[in-house]
Amino acid sequence: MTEKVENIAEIRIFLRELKKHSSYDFCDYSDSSIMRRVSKILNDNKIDMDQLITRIRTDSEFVENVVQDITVNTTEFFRDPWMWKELYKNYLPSLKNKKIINIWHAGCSSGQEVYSNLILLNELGLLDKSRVVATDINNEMLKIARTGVYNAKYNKTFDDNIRDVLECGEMSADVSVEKYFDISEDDGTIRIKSFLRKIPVFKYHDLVNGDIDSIKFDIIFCRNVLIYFNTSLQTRILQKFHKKLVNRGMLILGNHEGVNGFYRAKFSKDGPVYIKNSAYTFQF
Amino acid sequence: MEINGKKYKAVVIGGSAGSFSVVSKILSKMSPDFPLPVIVCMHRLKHVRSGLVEGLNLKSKIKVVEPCDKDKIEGNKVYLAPSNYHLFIEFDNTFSLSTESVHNHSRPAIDYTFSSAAYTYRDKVLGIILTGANKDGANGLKDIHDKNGTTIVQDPASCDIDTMTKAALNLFEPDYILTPEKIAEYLNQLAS
Amino acid sequence: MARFISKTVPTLSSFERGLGLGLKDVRELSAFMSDVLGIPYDHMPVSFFKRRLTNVFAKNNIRNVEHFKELLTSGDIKENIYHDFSVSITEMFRDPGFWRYLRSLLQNLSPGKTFTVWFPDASSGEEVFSFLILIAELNMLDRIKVICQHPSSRITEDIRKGILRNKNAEVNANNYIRIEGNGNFKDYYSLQDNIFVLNTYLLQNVETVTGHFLNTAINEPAGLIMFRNKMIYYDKEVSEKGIKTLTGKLSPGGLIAIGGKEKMPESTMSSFKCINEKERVFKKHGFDISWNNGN
Repeated sequence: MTEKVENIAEIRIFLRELKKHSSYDFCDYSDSSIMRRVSKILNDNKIDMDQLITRIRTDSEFVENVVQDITVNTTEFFRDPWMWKELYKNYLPSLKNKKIINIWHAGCSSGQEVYSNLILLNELGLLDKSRVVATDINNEMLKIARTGVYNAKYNKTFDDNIRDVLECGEMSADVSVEKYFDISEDDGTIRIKSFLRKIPVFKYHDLVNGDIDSIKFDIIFCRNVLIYFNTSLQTRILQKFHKKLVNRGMLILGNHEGVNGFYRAKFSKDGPVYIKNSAYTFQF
Repeated sequence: MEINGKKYKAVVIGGSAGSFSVVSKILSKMSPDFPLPVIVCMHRLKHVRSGLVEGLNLKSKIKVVEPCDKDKIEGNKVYLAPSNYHLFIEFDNTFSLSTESVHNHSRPAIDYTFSSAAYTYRDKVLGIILTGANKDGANGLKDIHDKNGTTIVQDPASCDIDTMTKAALNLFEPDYILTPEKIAEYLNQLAS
Repeated sequence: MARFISKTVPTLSSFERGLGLGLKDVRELSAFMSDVLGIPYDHMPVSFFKRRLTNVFAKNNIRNVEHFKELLTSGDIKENIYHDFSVSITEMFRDPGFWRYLRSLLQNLSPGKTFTVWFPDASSGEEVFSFLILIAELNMLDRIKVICQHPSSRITEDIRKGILRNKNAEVNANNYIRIEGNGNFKDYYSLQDNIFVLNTYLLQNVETVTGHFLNTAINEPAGLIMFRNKMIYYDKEVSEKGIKTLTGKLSPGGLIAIGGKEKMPESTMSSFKCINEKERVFKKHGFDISWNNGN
């Protein structure tokens, strides 16, 4: 018992140090998932907590690695089905008259959400005009995203989510999983079919300091990434998103994230989506 | 709440437009922890959808609300029938609303609220009719009386207009004929 | 305290006596009616069911429940039940504030867009005709298709012909003044044999569908659904089912209006944003960027 309490206290000290020496603020997230990730860092580097804190203070490259390890975003296909259903039925169809649809997944991790969205675009017949860029600071994750091969350990959730979402559409009540995935009999892995895999451009990008393409986007996904940043950095990133969206473009955040501060007034919430510069106007 | 061996479930009060001051007087004198729901059906101008609740809340020590359709009926609350709807009490202890045609030129009609209270609560309801220039409410109060509920008619001598109270007195003999002060006293005595 | 008099045999006023039906009788009969007629009579507030049934009995000279069941099974009386059970709307421009708000919304529509407005439970013409007058004054008659639906063919026929049978001319005229329209209410109708008949030109884009909204869906998505004071006649379960059915027919970003004292069933709220708390107008998530894209 006492050891665990000490652990939590130690982790808090570590998170405060990390905040001082990086652009990240994990102080409000000293929950079990961060505990798990920190334990993994200690194990992988074969160091103890004191040594970890010392290295945070002195080694900026190490800080970068630690941040990457902590922000590794586990995700899954069609995570939060409600959000994807809303996109499918009520938001993505509104893009049908565009010549080109530009989409940016900021913090795409291993790419499941990128492919989830591509599946919906394909069901809606919008795949051909979709241009997708997906970025992350973790090169390992980007590698997985590019190959599009996933361990299907979470088979049940995977199957439930995908059916739940696709069956809400009118034209595609009967979509088979094989339409989009090759499922390996040997090792249970699933691989995204190449017609989807070839569409997104996955690349390294630092949300805080990096520059992104000069084009403007119709949709920006940034799910469960902002939570790791402190308020001033959140505002800076939101500013970037605002600049990179077309007028009435859509910003899609994680379920527990929101637009606060200065940019609150520059977006309007509509269902699961934040719309740029949209004082509510009535339309059918 | 029990009196004379009887457990009450609700108090229903009816009055026409002029009864506002009487209702607020009664509510202002009632104990803030009065345990029963108090359901008030007052004739009111349908184009004035708000204001009445606010006015009563200024005086009342018990919270006054306008129920929505299907709302649960809770104790220690005053419910005011919303304008331009009839208000009914259902068996599952919820309100139901209706836009059926006016009754006695009124919507809400006191008869409807009272009758449904009689039917749902049977002898476990206390019905009170106040000053008014219309006979609405008399039949409904008689329904409460016929189901062995308790009935109070405001003393016609204390009414601005006594049409409503006299119509009730012509139909049956109520349990009590009381002035507004005495009505509040009687209710508080129930609660104590 | 002693009672003044001893109580006698209960004699409820005719209104609540409800044909002398007990709770069990109501459950049985309403279930039977639902089976035969395909409308969820068994999901209505009990007091309401009894009142309406009393009305059906009175209008059709029905002697008792057995007689009624007989007529029901023989099928002669279906239309009459659909007609006499439903509650006609008693006034035009009910809640003038709502109509003023609706006008402000319609005024901000992008020009040229055409769309459909659905009245899934048009129990008489008042709401529909109010809406038609409103859009006539906005010069939008030719842009809006209006679909009115009700199980009773007599009711849908009256609406198609512009007929109002309730005589509330004074209330209607007063409400019209309150919406601050830019015309003269008398110019929108004529009296034929003392019956209100809406001018034909207002009805040019009105279609009627005979059937209950839970069983018969319209083919096209609607931009606006007028569903005011309809859920009050059903229980939570059917209200929820109803809203879900209607939501399925609402365009992304479309609106639904419910009654001033009605609540949206909680389980359906994740599909909507309330855009006017007082007038009870809800917007379905989503929008149609294709015709509102200024850039």
